[in-house]
Amino acid sequence: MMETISVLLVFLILLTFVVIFYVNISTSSAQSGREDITNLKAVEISQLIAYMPEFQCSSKNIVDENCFDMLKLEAFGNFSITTEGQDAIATSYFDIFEYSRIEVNEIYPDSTKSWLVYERKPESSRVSLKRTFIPISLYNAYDNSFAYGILNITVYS
Amino acid sequence: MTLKNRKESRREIFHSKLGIIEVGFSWIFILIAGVVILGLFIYISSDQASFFRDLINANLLKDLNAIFVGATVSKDTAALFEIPKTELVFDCDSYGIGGVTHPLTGHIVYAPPLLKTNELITWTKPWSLGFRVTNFLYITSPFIKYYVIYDSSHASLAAEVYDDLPDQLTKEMIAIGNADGSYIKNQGYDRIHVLVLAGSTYRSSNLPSSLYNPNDFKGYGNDEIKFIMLYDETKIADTILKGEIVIKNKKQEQQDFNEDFGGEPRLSQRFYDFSSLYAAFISGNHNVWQCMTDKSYSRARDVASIYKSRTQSLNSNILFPVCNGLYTSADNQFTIMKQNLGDSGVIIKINEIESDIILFHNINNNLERASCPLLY
Repeated sequence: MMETISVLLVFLILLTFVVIFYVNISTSSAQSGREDITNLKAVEISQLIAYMPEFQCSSKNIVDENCFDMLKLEAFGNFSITTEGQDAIATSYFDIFEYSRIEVNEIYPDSTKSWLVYERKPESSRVSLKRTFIPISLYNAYDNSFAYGILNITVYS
Repeated sequence: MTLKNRKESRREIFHSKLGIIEVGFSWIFILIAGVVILGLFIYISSDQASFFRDLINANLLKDLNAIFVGATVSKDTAALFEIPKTELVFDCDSYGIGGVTHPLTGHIVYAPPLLKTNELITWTKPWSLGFRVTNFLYITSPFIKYYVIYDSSHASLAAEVYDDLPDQLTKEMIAIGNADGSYIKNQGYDRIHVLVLAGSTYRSSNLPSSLYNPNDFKGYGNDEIKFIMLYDETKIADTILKGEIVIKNKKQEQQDFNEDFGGEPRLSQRFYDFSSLYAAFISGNHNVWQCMTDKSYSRARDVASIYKSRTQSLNSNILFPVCNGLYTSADNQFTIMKQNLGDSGVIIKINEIESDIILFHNINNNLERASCPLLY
């Protein structure tokens, strides 16, 4: 009987080692999966924002690819400070952008211009972030001119 | 036998009895330990099996989401994807596999409520109320049959709709006089959606009973055959189709057939743009169609606000009287349109949106003629 008990004891110790090993593997696998999701989310946001008529350049509904309308960026900024806009950002735009920061910076000819389109940070103090930069063109409807810009997307996780 | 020998023999007998009992207890102990260990392993394996099944479903949903995002941003495109054979469930807010769900995250998606398939068809069309509001994403499978049935007065509209539908769809166009049992047969599809383009002259008795004949389509549930009726259609602003839609299931159409219900619509709903018509046709589900349409009008409110603000900026900075007059009209019209679109929870004045669409179209054309920056 003592032999049986000692065999069981050894078996349980080995089982414990196996479980600890498995948990460590699962944890690192989950961490890697979370990073993949964050990267994917950054790509999705960049795709989604580029097609939204709230920002996209268009002429009689014919769309210019990778082009953002400066007037629409300003209009969105004005809209986001209204009550109606804040409701929309908290609901329908949060569904699309989630916890992220979206900023457009003009780099040429006027590098001082920038527009903060959207920002929502998670409440947790421990966040990691993933930044994506996409070159875009910026259309100015006042004088029918174009500028170079960068779309900065920061995804929080 | 001496006393000492008697005591010794009694001790030996006692110890051997103890040995017998100990052997018995040992076996009982082994049995219990074995059952516990076996039970532990069975529990762990079944728990892990369930966990990994959910993990596989979650990974598949994550990959599908990436496909849907890519499809959504590519307007006027259709694609066929192969996926593991699965049962996809769609509702207003999410889609799921095997109890694991993924939110729709702001997408406007029209799909039948249940897709049992190993192939998915995605198709995207822009939706506009004069200005583009969003893209509609349609999701279906090749195992759903789509019929377009028309009368002679709707032949050109039927051809336009049929040509617009992607080739990947299992579709067929049939003139109403030919829509009998020799054309519409039970071919083993999961669902059948029938778009009827016959307007106010349509009577349920015009369609043969084969589509709900218990003998021909007895394997189909009431919600597996859907009829989408189009009424009072017309085009506004050159390209935008406006009309009324009714979605009926097999039982309702059978009832109308039996009662010769005629051209009076049930629960009809005004729609704008071909995209909305396709949304009803592809999904065949009134609840999802209604819910997604409400979301799209909510998005239209936000887009109208942004265009209104943009128009005000143009009015302030472009100092040509012709342009300024048009921008002022447009600014007022955006205010009216936002009122017609209503706030969340308020009934949308859907019939009055038509005049907004027409006015924006005219203002934009006049701006183009005057070489002013356009509204949209």
